[in-house]
Amino acid sequence: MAVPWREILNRRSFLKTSFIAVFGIGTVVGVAAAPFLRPRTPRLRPPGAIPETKFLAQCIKCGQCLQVCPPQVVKLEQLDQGFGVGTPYIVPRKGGCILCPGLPCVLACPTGALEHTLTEGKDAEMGWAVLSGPDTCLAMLGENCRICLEKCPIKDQRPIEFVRHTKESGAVFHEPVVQASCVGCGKCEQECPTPRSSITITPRLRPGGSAA
Amino acid sequence: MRGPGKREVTVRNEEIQVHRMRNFRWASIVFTSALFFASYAFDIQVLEGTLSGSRLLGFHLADPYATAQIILATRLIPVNLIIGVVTIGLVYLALGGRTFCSWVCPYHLLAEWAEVLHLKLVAKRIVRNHTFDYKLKYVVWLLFLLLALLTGFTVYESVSPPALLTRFFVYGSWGGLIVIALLLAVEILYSRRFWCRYLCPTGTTYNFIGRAAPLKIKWNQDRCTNCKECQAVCMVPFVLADTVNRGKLEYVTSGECTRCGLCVDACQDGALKFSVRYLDKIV
Repeated sequence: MAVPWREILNRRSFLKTSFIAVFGIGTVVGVAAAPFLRPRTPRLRPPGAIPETKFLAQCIKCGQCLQVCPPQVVKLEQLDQGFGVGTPYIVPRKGGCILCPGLPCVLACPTGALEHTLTEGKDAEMGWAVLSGPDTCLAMLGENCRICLEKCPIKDQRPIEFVRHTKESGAVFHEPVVQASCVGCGKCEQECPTPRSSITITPRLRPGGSAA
Repeated sequence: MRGPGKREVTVRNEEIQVHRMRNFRWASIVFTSALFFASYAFDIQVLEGTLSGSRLLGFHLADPYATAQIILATRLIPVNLIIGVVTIGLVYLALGGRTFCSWVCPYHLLAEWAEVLHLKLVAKRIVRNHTFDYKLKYVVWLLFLLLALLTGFTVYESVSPPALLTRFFVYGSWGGLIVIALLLAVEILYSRRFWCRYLCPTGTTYNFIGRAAPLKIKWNQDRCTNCKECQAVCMVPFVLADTVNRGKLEYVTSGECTRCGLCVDACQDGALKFSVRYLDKIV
């Protein structure tokens, strides 16, 4: 009943061969599959997040940033985001970052995936606010809405300027123009009163995103 | 110096099953998991984070294997993680290495229940146990380190059962339960304690620490009746070979021993007990 290869190979050399096979196949499959297991959804990361590819490698997925977050806006990725599973992100419409004094999430990070060199919220480079719904924005429709600016956690500067325009009909409206001092915390997107937020955050892709 | 083995075995009272160590152990796993849960859910801030990385009353703790992957993937050495790994290393050097597995890891508890189910199915001849070589885990251990180095991702951390389970009961990330369910299904239907025995790289890292740890199971040759009940309940039965089978060693020295105490409970002759090697010679 013995299978021929069992006769040829003794147990030791069979083990050796199968171990090398497991190691070799595992390596090839792992390296080949890696690009397909990258997270698919671009995410707004908490303040101080290092460039995305490095962030995915350096984050230990412990969720301590989430635990210390006073407004509780940090969430963790599910398994569908591949290697991103367990990494923290923010959904601005559900709750933007408020750039707490002292940035507790950055201090909580044990690995430096949220960089400790960031000490003030105004220096965070999370993303950009973009006026994605100019046709629904109340200020653009001539209303006196300034909620995005009023709720902005950056108070000593004006990350959103309202530029006055006059239509041919003589009607006056104001266009919100995002300034360089915007860090992309997402508070404006959360607070925008239109059914779909007229101002949304695009996560900032910091340079140097390669892993090695 | 063997006792009258056969007689002892035949008078064994099946109803006297001691579960003292097991009960302590299950309490320990539930307590640790509850601390993780309550630290966030009720904000008691005692043990914050997950089994990959956490803070115990503010002190960093980090899983050694997760840290090794991060260092290989990023080519950086984060100081806080090193502090956490050294702390964890010292703790488990004192406690016995794979003590982590049987006294802390929540997957171990689930796997023990799956094992009960598996053994029942085997007894009814519905399924058959498939065994592999225990050294397979060293291959897996090296494989995931190499993958971290080559891909720049902490590949194993995406599927690590202790990490997935703690993230589930601390943060409600239920997606990882798919992986857990798959592993348990394999353990119930195909191979007894498949993950913990043959694969788990987290446990393998603690295995290395455990070899140097002085807290070990001590074998009393004079009391042993060689009934091998200890090996029947052991997750890694071969660790007892040099003591109860061959009589070569007084202590269970293998790093694979999880110090779970199942053998201590199972031994009706009182031949196995927890002991601190070297220290018990002095005192």
